[in-house]
Order: sequence, then structure tokens, then C-alpha cells
Amino acid sequence: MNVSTKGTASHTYDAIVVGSGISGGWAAKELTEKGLNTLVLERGRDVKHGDYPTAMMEKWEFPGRNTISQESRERQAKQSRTGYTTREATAHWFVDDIDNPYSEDKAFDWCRGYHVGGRSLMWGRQSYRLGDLDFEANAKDGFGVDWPLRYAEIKPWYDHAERFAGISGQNEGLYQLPDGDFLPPFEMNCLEKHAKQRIEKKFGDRKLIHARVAHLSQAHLGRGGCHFRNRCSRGCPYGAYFSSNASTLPAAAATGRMTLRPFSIVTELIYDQETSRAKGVRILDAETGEAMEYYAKVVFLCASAIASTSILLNSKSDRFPTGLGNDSGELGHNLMDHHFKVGASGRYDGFEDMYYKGRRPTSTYIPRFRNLGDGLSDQKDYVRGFGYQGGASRTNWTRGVAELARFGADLKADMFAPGGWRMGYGSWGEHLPYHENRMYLNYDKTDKWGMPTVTFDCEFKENERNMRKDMQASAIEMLEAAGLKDVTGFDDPTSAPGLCIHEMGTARMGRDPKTSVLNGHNQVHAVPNVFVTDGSFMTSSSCVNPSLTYMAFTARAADHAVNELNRHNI
Amino acid sequence: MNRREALKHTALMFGVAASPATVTRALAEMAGDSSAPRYLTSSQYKVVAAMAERLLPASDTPGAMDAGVPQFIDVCYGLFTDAEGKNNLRTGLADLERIDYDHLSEAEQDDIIRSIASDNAKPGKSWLRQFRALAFNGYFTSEAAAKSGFIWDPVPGNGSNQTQCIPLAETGGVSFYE
Ligand SMILES: Cc1cc2nc3c(=O)[nH]c(=O)nc-3n(C[C@H](O)[C@H](O)[C@H](O)COP(=O)(O)OP(=O)(O)OC[C@H]3O[C@@H](n4cnc5c(N)ncnc54)[C@H](O)[C@@H]3O)c2cc1C
Ligand code: SF4
Repeated sequence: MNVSTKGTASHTYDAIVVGSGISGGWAAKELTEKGLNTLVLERGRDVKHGDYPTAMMEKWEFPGRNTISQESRERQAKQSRTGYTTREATAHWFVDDIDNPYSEDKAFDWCRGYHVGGRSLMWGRQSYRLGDLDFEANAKDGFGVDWPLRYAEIKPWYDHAERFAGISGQNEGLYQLPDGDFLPPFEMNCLEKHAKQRIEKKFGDRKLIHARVAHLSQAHLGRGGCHFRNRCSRGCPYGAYFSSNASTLPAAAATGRMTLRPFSIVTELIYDQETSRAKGVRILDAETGEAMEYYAKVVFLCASAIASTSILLNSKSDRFPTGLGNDSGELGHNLMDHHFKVGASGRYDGFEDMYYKGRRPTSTYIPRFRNLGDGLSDQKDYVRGFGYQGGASRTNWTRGVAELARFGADLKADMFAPGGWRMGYGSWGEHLPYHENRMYLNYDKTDKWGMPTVTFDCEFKENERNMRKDMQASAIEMLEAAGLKDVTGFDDPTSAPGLCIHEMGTARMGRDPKTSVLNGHNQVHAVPNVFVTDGSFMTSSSCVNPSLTYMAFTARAADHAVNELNRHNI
Repeated sequence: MNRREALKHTALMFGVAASPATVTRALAEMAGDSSAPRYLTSSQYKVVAAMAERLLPASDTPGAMDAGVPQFIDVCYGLFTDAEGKNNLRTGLADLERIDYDHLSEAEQDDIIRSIASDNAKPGKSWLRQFRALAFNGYFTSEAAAKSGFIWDPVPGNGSNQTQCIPLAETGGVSFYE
């Protein structure tokens, strides 16, 4: 390959961060604030805060009224599998599947966006901590390997992440869902308040709480408070939810020590046999196709789990013939997501004269209540647990579509009035780490850059399937207890891994280099100046949304990297 | 549709590499002449307009035609509907074209809607459901509906004013749905 090294000096930094999504933004902020000159390499186009073309568009300004066009269904066939991400308002944040192909030995939905900010722009903003119930789970039931740390070690970094990101919520004193440092919660509506009271009274072991979300319920660190528009995944002009673009990248830029290079596809790490360290990275310029090298003392891989693992797998040398850091053979394995698309909903008769204002962009949450290790909540046919997200609202005009015999002025007037209340919960369940669930590189099928593509071979198994029965039954039972009528359950057993968009685990951390890729500080065991701080490091999946955990571990890893640099250990 | 606004957004979106060309193209088209159908035949379009107006007629709030429902159904048919959906829609429209639906009296048009609503054979009920979904979406998400029957408030504002459990009477109505 004809690699341009240009002036080596001008291509040398203290640190390189690969990716600018949730984890890359945090790495950039922490490393620059601690004094390192940092190069952020991002494969997609630049998106400056405010550069959100659809943020202020009204529904009627979208030709299909914000639905999925046939063109998106064709060019973004896999990205469209969620059913909502490629609507007109957000399609531009998701990749083109024809230009960015991947293969599936078993169905896997890999939903992603290549641009500055990554999925921090489109994420659902649900933000929960893992606790010791999670960090001890693998050691206790024997699935996967033990996490190399416990809650006490990561707690201060969760505090740090929450304080900067701005998470609204409320402390509940639950062992299974640790408290945090929260902005005031978003209010519940009348039916949610009612259901909370009824469910908590009937089931002493359960709580219906405010969702914890990376939304500013009030102005915070120079970012505006939320304006209740519920147009978040288009990008928020007020910076009222956490995104790299509105939060971490501006903080990193303010130090004067960040260089952000969009259109830079990192293809591999450069391994130096003599020092047993990575010297830097190779990239392809996505606009010119030019190959280049950049050098640094430390490299943070934050390209998202599948992409960072791909970079490691593609970094082959005499020392690492199957990919950098793959002494254990676990690289690419133990792929996890969460399983969902199961729950229940029902109708409520009452509160007809009550309503709500604005368009609240959040919901409510029911934390895990199974297998808490207390003997009382143990289940016979599955390990681990699940939580619920959902809430109540009044139905809108869509209720009239199926009333085929009704039409005319009266019907129209009726549809301008609020319909009855409905309430529903969807459940998010833990996916166990199975060695055979994996992704690997396919060198026979390359993309337009000549790079190998990814193939997925991953599934849900018996533990997940058994858990789903309880996820549905418990949802029905709680909604009935709340007084809802016509409660019906749902369970889509065809929902494949990936659809929850929490893919993780492919370079897991552990205590033993023989069975894990990273140590407890996110360093590749055998190459300690390479840190991997996106979802790849997850040793188990917990049942809560993972991104807050990526933030906390990234900040902790950055702190460790700077300390180790100062001690000349790396 | 405010054409200047649409064009402004079109221009913005051309700057976005991954934005589907569909959106930009359709926006540009919508900014042009809006009286003629682009994807439906003019005979289909006349039936669409007539039936949409009977389903959602002008009253103290605008009707389907004033709200641009036929134009929406035309674009939706052309760019947002798959081959099977298009075929279904066309089949049902063909039956109505044959009887010159748009030339019938309002009472006759209403009778036909009622008979389709109880017709279990195809296209029948399933067709009417598809058509109603299009017409309702076109109507209740339109600018005319937002600004007449709903509370249209693009930036409701600060949380302290957005109480979530409040008498309906104090909100002044239903907020325009996002
Ligand atoms: C619709 C949706 C809803 C979600 N809801 C939630 C939620 O409620 N709560 C939650 O916790 N999580 C949620 N998630 C998941 C969340 O978005 C991800 O967990 C999070 O963004 C992962 O952060 P990351 O930094 O690892 O990856 P990303 O945010 O995906 O960023 C990775 C970046 O790396 C870049 N990149 C990739 N490959 C390369 C390369 N080779 N070279 C250079 N750059 C590269 C990409 O372009 C991208 O910008 C949701 C995701 C989606 C899409
Ligand atoms: S609802 Fe709040 S966070 Fe979401 S886009 Fe609007 S102002 Fe921003």
C-alpha cells in the first residue's frame, strides 16, 4: 500500500480518539481537559451543533408527513427494520446500506450513523447505572467471565458523567438500580401517577418511577432547558439533551487541544513489535481515498462496539496474527444486545377531563424486580432480569381510521378532541454473553473502500425466551392491577438481536488475559496504550440501556491513561 | 405548505450527504404547481379528492381539499407506497372510476362509502381502510388542521409551564401531534 506519512511530526499527537459518538466525545473531552493534544478521527461528515436540517420542520413540510420513503426502504433496507429510524426527519442520520453492506449468518440489525456525533444525535437518552447486581452476575451464575471491578470503583465516574451530561430523574434507593446525581424529573401524567400508586401497593417489590433521561429539565452548564417539542432525534437546537455535538465536543474544542478530522476511516492500528505498543493508526480519507498514518502515545477506540472490534480484528501482525489483542481468541465473540418487543398495553376508563401540556419527550420506568439475589424474587427457568419503559397518553385521530362506517363533519370534530387513555409498557431484557454469538470479518466481500465487511452470527437462546414469558405476563398483571381494561400482551419472537441498538461485548474486559481482551481499565491486556471504551468492553449486558456506562468507563479510562502516561508506564 | 420554507429546507438538505434524494425532489416538486397530480392519473385523482372530501368535509374547520389531502395522497402513492400497496389502491380506485364516483351526488357518494365499509370481498373494506389511513394522515397532520382544530405550538417551552396532569379545559384543546 502506498501510505502517505506526510510530515511525521505534523501527524503526531499525544492521543488519538477513533469515533466521535457518545464514547469518542467523552474521550476527547476528558483527554483534552487533562492536557493531551488529541486528534479525533471520525469516518463520517462533520455536523456542527445546530447543523440539524430537520429540527425545526413541521410535519406537513415532509412530503410523506414524516414516514419512510420507498427510496429509504430500498437504500436503507436494514436501517429501516426498526420501523421508525429512517422516517424523513431522521433518515439522513442513518447509513446507506448499499454503500455500507454487512452479512448475516443469522439475522442481526446493525443500526448506525456515520457522522460527527455518531448515534449520540439519535439515541433515546434513557440513562441508568449498572449496580453490583450486574457486576457480580457473571461470577455468581457462571455465564461469561467475571467483571474485573465492582460498583464502588465506577460509582465516582457515574457521578462525573451524570453531572456533566445532565440526567433528569429521581433517587429511589434501589439496590438493583443505583441512585445518581440527577436534575429534577419530568412530571408524570394523571394516569401514570394513578398506576404508580396502584402497582406499588399491590406489588411490594415493584416501583414505577420517572425514566432517567439525558434531558435537561432545567438549564445546565450553558445548555438550555428542554422545550417539550419531542423532536429530539432530529438534533436539538437548544442542546437540551446530551449529544457529543452539543456537549462533549464543544468542551473538548474549548481547550484548544482538539483536532477533529471528519471523513477519516480508521482501518487498522499500527503495532510496534519492539515496544509492544501501538504507534498510531492508518486511515483512508473518505473523500480522496488517500491512505495516511497518524501517531500518538495512546489510542482510544470509540468507534462503537462492532466498528472498534473490526479495527482490532483487521490489525494483523506477526505478534497478533488474528487481530490486535486477540490472545484469548475472544475478540468478536460474546456479542450481546438486549431483547425487547414484548410487553402489554390496555385502555383506561376515567380521567376523561384530564390532559397534559406540551410534548414531553420522556416516559416512565419500572426497574428490574426478578432474581435480585434475595431469595424471594428468584425464578426457576431463567437467570438475570428485565425492566420496563412506557407510560400513558390519550389516543389521537389515528383511532378513527378503523371505524370504517363513520365519516363526515362529526367524525372530524371528534378526532380533534382527545380520545380515551391508553397505557403500555415494553420490556428490555438482559442477553447473556455466549461465546458462540459473534461477529467476524469477511475478506471475500469488501466495501467500496476495499475494506473487509462484517458478518454477524448471533441469536437469542433459551434463557432469553423463557424470560420473555415472564416479561409479558408481568406486564399484563401490573396493568390490570393499575385498573386498565382490555389489557393485551404482545411478544414479537422474530425480533432479532441488534434491533435494540445496544450491540456490545465483542472485546470484553476481564481479570484473565486468557479469557478476555481488555483489563479493568479498558486497556488491551498485551498492548496497554490501546484503550477500548465503547460497548465492546461490556462483560455482561445488564438489562438497562448502556450508554451512560460507556460514558463513565470512558472517563475513568482517560483518567487512567493520563496517570499512566505521567508515570511513564505506557 | 409554505413554499419559501420548503425551498429553504430543500437547500439545507442538499447539503446533507445522506439525505434521501426523494425528500429533496418531492419538496422541490411541491414548491411548483400543485393543482395537477404527479403520480396518479387525473381520473384517479378526481376520485381521491371527492372521497377524501366526503370523509372529512369542510365544516367549521377546513375540509380535505382545503387541507391538501389529494396532493398528499398523490405524493404518498408515488414515493412512499410499495408495489403491493400501490396495486391495492389502484384496484379500488378503478371500481370507483368506472362509476364516475366524483360526478355522483354527495348522498350517493356517501351511500357508496357505506356499502364499501361493509363489503367483505376485495377491494372492499381493506381498501377503504387503506384509503382512510392515507386521508386521515394527510388531513390531521396538515398545516390547515394544525392551525384550526388543534393547539399548534411548535415550541411549548420550559418544563415549569408544561404540567402533565391538568384539566383539559385549561389546555384549550389537543396539541398538534408530532
Ligand atoms: C434510535 C436509537 C435509540 C437509542 N436509545 C438509547 C437509549 O435510550 N439509551 C442508551 O443508553 N442507548 C441508546 N441507544 C444506543 C446508543 O446510541 C449507543 O449505545 C451509543 O451511541 C454508542 O456510543 P459509541 O460512541 O460507542 O458509538 P456511536 O455513538 O455509534 O459512535 C461511533 C462513531 O464512530 C464512527 N466510526 C465508526 N467506524 C469508524 C472508523 N473505522 N473510523 C473512524 N470513525 C468510525 C462512527 O461514524 C460514529 O460517529 C440508541 C441508539 C439508537 C440508534
Ligand atoms: S424535546 Fe427538549 S430535548 Fe427534545 S428536541 Fe425538543 S427541546 Fe430538545
